[in-house]
Amino acid sequence: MEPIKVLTANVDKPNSKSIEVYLEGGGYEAARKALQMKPEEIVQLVKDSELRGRGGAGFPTGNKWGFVPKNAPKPTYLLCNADEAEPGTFKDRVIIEKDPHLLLEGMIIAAYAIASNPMAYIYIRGEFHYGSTVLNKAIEEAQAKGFLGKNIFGSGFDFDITVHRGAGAYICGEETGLIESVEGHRGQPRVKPPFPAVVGVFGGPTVVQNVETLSCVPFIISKGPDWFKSFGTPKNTGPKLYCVSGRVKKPGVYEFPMGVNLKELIYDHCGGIVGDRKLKAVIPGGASAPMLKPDEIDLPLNFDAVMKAGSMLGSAGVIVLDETVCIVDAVWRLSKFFAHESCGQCTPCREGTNWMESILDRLERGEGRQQDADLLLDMADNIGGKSLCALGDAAIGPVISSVKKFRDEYLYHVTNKSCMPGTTRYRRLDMPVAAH
Amino acid sequence: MAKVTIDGTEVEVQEGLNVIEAAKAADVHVPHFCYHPSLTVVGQCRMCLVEVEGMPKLQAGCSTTVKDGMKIHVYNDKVDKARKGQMEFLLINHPLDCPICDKAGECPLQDYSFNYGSVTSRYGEFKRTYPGMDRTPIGPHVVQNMNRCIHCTRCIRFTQEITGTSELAFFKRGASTEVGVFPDTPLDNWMSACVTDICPTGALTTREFRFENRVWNLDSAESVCNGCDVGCNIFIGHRNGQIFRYRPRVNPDVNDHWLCDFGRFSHERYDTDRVVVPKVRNEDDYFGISTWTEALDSIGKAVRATTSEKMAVIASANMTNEEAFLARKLFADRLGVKSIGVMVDAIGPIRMKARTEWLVGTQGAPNFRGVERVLGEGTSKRVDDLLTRGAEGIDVLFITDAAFSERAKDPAVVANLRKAKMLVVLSWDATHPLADSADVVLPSTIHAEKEGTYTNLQGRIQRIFQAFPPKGQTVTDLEIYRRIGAHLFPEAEEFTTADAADLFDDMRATIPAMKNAEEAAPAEAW
Ligand SMILES: Cc1cc2nc3c(=O)[nH]c(=O)nc-3n(C[C@H](O)[C@H](O)[C@H](O)COP(=O)(O)O)c2cc1C
Ligand code: SF4
Ligand code: SF4
Repeated sequence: MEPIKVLTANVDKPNSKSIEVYLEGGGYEAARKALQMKPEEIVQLVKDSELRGRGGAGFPTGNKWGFVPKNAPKPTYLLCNADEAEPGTFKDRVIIEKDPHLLLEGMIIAAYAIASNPMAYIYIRGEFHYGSTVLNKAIEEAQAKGFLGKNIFGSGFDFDITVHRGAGAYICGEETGLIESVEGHRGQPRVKPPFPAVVGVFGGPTVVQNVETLSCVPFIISKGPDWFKSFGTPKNTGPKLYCVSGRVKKPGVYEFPMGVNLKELIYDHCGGIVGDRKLKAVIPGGASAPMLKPDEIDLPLNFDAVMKAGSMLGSAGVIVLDETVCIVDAVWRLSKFFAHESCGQCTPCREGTNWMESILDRLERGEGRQQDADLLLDMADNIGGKSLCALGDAAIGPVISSVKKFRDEYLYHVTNKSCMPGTTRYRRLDMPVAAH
Repeated sequence: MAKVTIDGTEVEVQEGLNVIEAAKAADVHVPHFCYHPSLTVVGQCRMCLVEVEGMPKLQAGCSTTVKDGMKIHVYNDKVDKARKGQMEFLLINHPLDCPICDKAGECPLQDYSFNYGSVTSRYGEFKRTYPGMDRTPIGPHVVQNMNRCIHCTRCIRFTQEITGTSELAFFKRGASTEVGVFPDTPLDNWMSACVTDICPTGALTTREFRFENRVWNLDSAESVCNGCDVGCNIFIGHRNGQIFRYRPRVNPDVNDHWLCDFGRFSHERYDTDRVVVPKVRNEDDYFGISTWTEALDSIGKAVRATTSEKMAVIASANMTNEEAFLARKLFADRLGVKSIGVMVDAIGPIRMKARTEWLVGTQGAPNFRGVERVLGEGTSKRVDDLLTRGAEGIDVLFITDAAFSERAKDPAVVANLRKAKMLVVLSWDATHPLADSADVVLPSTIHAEKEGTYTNLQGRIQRIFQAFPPKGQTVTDLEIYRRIGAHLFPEAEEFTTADAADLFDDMRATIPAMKNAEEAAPAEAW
């Protein structure tokens, strides 16, 4: 499969973030067209395109828009989720920094489709400071051209966008955590129901959508759902950004039709493993996705196929681990992330993620116990599906899969009190050198 | 209505009720920590997970509303495993210091540990602790031990949703998450100690009750707070005739689950010397202890030597309806005294959250409305005259409770009342100035020692039960009126009994306004 340039069509152009470059490529024509259509028609087009959310869950976008009640007493909100905090994920950043107008155009269309007078925020992670300046600049440019503001394209549709910077919490990427954060509260997910589409930010109906999802929308309007579906396979359609990181020769963001083969991606497009070493494991969809072993990677990277293989496409953050990586150490590092990012409100995630991290740390320090592997599995079962939000489920992905698939490596740590020969522990400078 | 099946029992409940409440209809208890019927649902503790047929994942009972035809399993193997898992998570970092914890014995965490905890621990790591937050006063009444906290946020939601003061919040995140107050903002509101009731662990306790007693050693009596006219329902926790604490008793119409700090700690007023025997002033102005017979004799002598016009009575808003009723029979009906007055101090306003409304208490005693209703035309004007101008020309002045008003402690007022030829005072407080300057002091009882009813600001008649009997030579106030009555009118039938239940029935029959009292104060055991 060959790389394509749809979402990334502009990114290599000089000064691609400016509105002039965007307009040269036919920018904002889709929005102009959309605003002459009926909102229901747009929702139907998006449904027909089979676009699924790129933020992680892969929920059909058109259906989500269809849930928004019409004529709600409170304003309707469109929130763009630009929190992009999943380790191994850096695709939204490319759009934000290199082609912000694509996102803005997608938001104008989406907002018009869900409500007559919507409010909109782009919730961008605090660390993306540069990204937030690019977005703000882009919004100013669009306002100056009349693409944002009152009576856009003479359609009578008023719409504006506010950039809201986060303060450094992964959990604010979870949609209800994001809503709380936008409201100015502690980023702490809410119980569902009620779902955001009914009661969301400031009590109004709310649609939360990933950057890449929204950036697909202009193409569906301008080129039609059939063109969009020509990429990928049924139910897994459209262009898709893949973030490849870890031990590959050419890490980076790649664009393919949905469903590029994982093996092909790693070996053909990313140039294979650094130092031509052997592959040990692949995390296909960001830190929360269960690991795949080398014999499991001959599969198309789309929502359903990866799900069938026991993992998930998630945010399409492909993390490649080679034979020199100590699996227990890698999982410890991931666990440490989730323990650190747990918001701490619900029991299994607050206590469980921390406990898992302690056990993995102990294993790495050479103080593992025989029962640790089973304890990890049983504990993961007490977290999985029991937590308030999906962070709990995310945290157990790497743990369960690694214990099941690399059990020998865990047991080696217990019996030999060290990592497997040939693997090394990733050590931070400020970390005391362990006794092995 | 929705028909749902809970652990095999089909019940019909209100549609939209959550599973925890619906299960009550089937007499099934769903274990939970963070859910509280008077606070918003947050689904945080995950203890209330139940299985709903047709849903792949277990569902939180607090945030799942029932629909017609739902089949719910609160107790099966799958739920049990999950619940034990949550319990394990909650306990791994808990200090397990029940032996020195004030909550032990009435602690949901402890109770569920017996059901879902494990005897051995799989936790081989260091426990998380919160140094410097383990015996920390966070307000005038509340002491925090963060190590015991299970992060249920009930306390936080209480300050956000009930008092609206928001002193408490979560700080930090993940396993380091802590509940705390903001710098320089102590947990200081008029209902602050309620957080210690709703805290399902010993993380929050009151300074006043800490280390005072083990809860299982306390007896408990149902009563009503006498701090103001709201009349919050309480349990009196007591042992050996000593009050250790008041706790709120749930009454959705009055105080719901709450109690204000002023009322909660108002029993501290009884930490004083009590009047334990009658005292009589003799001809030589010697004020010494006496027998009941001597005391009654001297009252009798004074009463017989005068006329009803020259007698006056200051009744107290602290009296029960029954006391007021018997006093009325004695003073008004038998002795013909016209000058009977009752007054009450203004306080507050004290705000109390009932389930549906805010009640505002403005009177410093529990039963002004009831006493006034029973005594009829008693007005505070009459009392006011006695306090300001003095009891000139009065031969016998009865004061049914030295603590009838804060003003009675004012030396000028005492001097004015003292102008009566004979001053008879009922008092439980031996240090009260009136108890010092009277001619006859009769030892009366505090509200924990008596039974009867109070009428609160809503007109609701609420019953108090005796927590412990009066001590020593003290008797209930009803018995005092009976004794005086029987002494003065040996033949009179009404002074043969001082039974509160009988008087209650009699009162309902006699006083039209009290006719429906039975409904508000249902007879249980008198
Ligand atoms: C712990 C957690 C973190 C998440 N972080 C992100 C994120 O950084 N960016 C994102 O787009 N979605 C994130 N999501 C997914 C969102 O909850 C939500 O599903 C998504 O924004 C919906 O948009 P989509 O339908 O366009 O994918 C996260 C979910 C969870 C549970
Ligand atoms: S699963 Fe973790 S992040 Fe999500 S609500 Fe619970 S504690 Fe917070
Ligand atoms: S202090 Fe008590 S009420 Fe508050 S969160 Fe902790 S356990 Fe819950």
